Amino acid sequence: MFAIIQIDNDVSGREFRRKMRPKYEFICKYCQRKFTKSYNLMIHERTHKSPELTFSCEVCGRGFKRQDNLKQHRCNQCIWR
Amino acid sequence: MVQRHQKNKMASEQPLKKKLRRGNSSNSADETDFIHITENGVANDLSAFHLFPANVNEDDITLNAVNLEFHGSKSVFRTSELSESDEKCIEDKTEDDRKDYPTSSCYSNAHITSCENISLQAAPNMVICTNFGKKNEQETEDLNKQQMMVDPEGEETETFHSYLVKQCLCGIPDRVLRKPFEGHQIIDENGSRLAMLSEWSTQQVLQFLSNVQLLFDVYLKQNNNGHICSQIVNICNIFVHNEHNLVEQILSLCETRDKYVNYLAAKVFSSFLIIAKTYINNEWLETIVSFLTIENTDYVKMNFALEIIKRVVEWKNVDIHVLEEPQSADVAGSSTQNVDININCVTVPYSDAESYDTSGIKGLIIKSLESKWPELINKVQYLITHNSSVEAQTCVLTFLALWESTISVKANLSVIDTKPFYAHLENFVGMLNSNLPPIIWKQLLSLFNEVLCYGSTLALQDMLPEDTCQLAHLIVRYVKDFRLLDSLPYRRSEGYTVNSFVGTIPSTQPTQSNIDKTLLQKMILLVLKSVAITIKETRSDSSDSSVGSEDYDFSHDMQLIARSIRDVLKKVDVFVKVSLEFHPETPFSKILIHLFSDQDDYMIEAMVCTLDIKTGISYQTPLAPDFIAMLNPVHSFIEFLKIVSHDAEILLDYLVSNETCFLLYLLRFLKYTRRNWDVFVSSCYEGGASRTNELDNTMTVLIRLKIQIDRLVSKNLFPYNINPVLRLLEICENLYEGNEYS
Repeated sequence: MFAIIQIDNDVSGREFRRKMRPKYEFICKYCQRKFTKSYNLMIHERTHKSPELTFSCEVCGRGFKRQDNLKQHRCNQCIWR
Repeated sequence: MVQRHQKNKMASEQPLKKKLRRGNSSNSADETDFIHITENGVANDLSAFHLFPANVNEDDITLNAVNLEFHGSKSVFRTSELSESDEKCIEDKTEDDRKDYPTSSCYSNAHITSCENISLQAAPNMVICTNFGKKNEQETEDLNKQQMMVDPEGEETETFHSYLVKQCLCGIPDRVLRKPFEGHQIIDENGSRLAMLSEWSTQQVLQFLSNVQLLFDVYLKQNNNGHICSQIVNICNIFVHNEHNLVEQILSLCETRDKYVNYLAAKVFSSFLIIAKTYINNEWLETIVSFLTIENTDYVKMNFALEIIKRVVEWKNVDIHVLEEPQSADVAGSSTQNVDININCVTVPYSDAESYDTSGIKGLIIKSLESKWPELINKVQYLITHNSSVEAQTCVLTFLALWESTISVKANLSVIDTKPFYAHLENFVGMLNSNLPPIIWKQLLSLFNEVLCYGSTLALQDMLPEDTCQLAHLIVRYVKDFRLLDSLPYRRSEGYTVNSFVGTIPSTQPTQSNIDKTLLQKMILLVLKSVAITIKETRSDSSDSSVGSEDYDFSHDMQLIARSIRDVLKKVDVFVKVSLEFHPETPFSKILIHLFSDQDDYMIEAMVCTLDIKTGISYQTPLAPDFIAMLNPVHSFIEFLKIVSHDAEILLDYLVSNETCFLLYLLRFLKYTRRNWDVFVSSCYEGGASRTNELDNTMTVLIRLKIQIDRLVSKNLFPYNINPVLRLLEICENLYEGNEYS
């Protein structure tokens, strides 16, 4: 019925730790919901926060969330782009 | 320059919860932050907010006392509309009753026009051409004879307003600063005194509330930027400390029967709570939630309370608008706005996270709401089934919107705090029938869609919450066995119009559209999510079993589920084809993409659902070929690419923004493609009715997307770790190239 798992090398040790890992390791800092994969938590947490400004103007350095906003943008320094 | 010192003026109003904001505070955790500007000397000039004469001890005035004062005097809002008997009715009430009245019988028609649904009462400064308007003018005239406003609003209010528009109150003369908040002198039978807020004329109250709202808006916006004008901080602090009982007075404005005053007062009060955060008097919250369950329902008060709570729960820190240039650009003169920003403004740094962390006040208001929740649920259920008046329906709609906001992932509330709000959902599923007005259908479907937050949360979790799964099962069962789809009132009937913003509403002016597409979209998305959740739950249950012999049971269960799911999806297929008049042979993937073509977040979530249904259901279960074809994810993706004109930049924008669950979709779709490359290739060839090569078209978009992501990643500009998607794109590109040359 029962088997004793012997940890004698790195591979089985890693395997053992993987099996024994608590099921919910990743908890959302906004709503405390639980996830088993860190990437899934990251995808979920993006829902809670405003996205960062990814696209920035090379002339004035202003950031935008979307490319089309960057394209529409015209400021004093950038007017001659 | 800036000193923070303990100052608690609210005698019986201890802060409910106040975390230590800065490490240098040595006294207690309950210390209140107060900013005292000595240079300008304005903080000492609190007379700006005196609404009472000097002989009234303002600290002693409680909410009841304010109400007493308010009711005891002749109000411009009430005395004019009430008959003698009505006035007697109020006078007969005991002091204890004062908080809860007016009952609907006393205030039957005061200032509420009998107009239908959306039509609005004209603003006070508009010319009112109805009899009601004439009557109102006459009454106001009579009233002016009784109460002479000694000082009508002057230029000061406008000057104050113009300074606020410039977002800085530095340099504003004291006289001007004081004026907009000062009560108006009135002369009545008791002699000359300062009028209560509720005694001001409608226009003056509206002007006052608008200015306060603008003040709060500027505060919150500057708080978000990290620096607030010191004068604005001073004035807001006076409000927060409630030094002149303005808070109670604003709260008591809900007694007025003027839609505009009510709306603005609720707006101002919710902004006040967001600024004050946990530094508030618990009695205020108790007063608000008590409006929800008054025995003789007062719809105006109930809606007032629901609006306040909803706005606090929904509050998100303001983003800088896309079109708004930073201050430096304005100074440089590039701005087209006529507003000069005061460069000499003395600002106070307010950039610590706590200064804009609203989780405390959100938690408090949710707790207060929770105590009334079961009672409120009963009341709303009764209203839905027994009261079709506009006032009752407005309350029902606001209540459902509040419920949706409370459980929304975007509200950033703890799932533990919101657990009690998941309890009564099932009662409302049974209410979805053809007798229910379309506008309430829509709100209920929105609520259920928010509970089944598949793309943002549930699709990513291994174990799903039980109450959520029960709702999904119920929806599936109602579609399968109780013809839920057939009772959806998506077709406009006589006397209704489909408003693209509100939905189907009663109106004598019908629009061209005969179909409420939003209602269809919400219904279909809900069914797809329910199906996906049902399958996911069955799979995760089985993955828990460690004993091999249960595999047979699982397979058997899955076959049964697959059969009923097929039944449900066939119903959805037929229903959408009939309602949107598609050819009966049109593929399901195509009708889905077209149904959601103007609502990208729904469309992408629906795509995640069908992909997960396909991968979940075909796991260990042989499916009928027509069912496999119906759910083919590659066909959906090809249709989707047509909608976005095969533009990789649009896909990149979807990935970077968080408005849709495209990241999750793309990740799962690419994993599916990698695992089923042959299916992907063959589907591409059979997908297009035209003879275009969909494989090349699709792969060109994906390769362009990969190049764009690569470029951003190499510059360290991608906002999160996109590597898993990037790796899958590379693998698919390799498979494509290998495929091409083989």
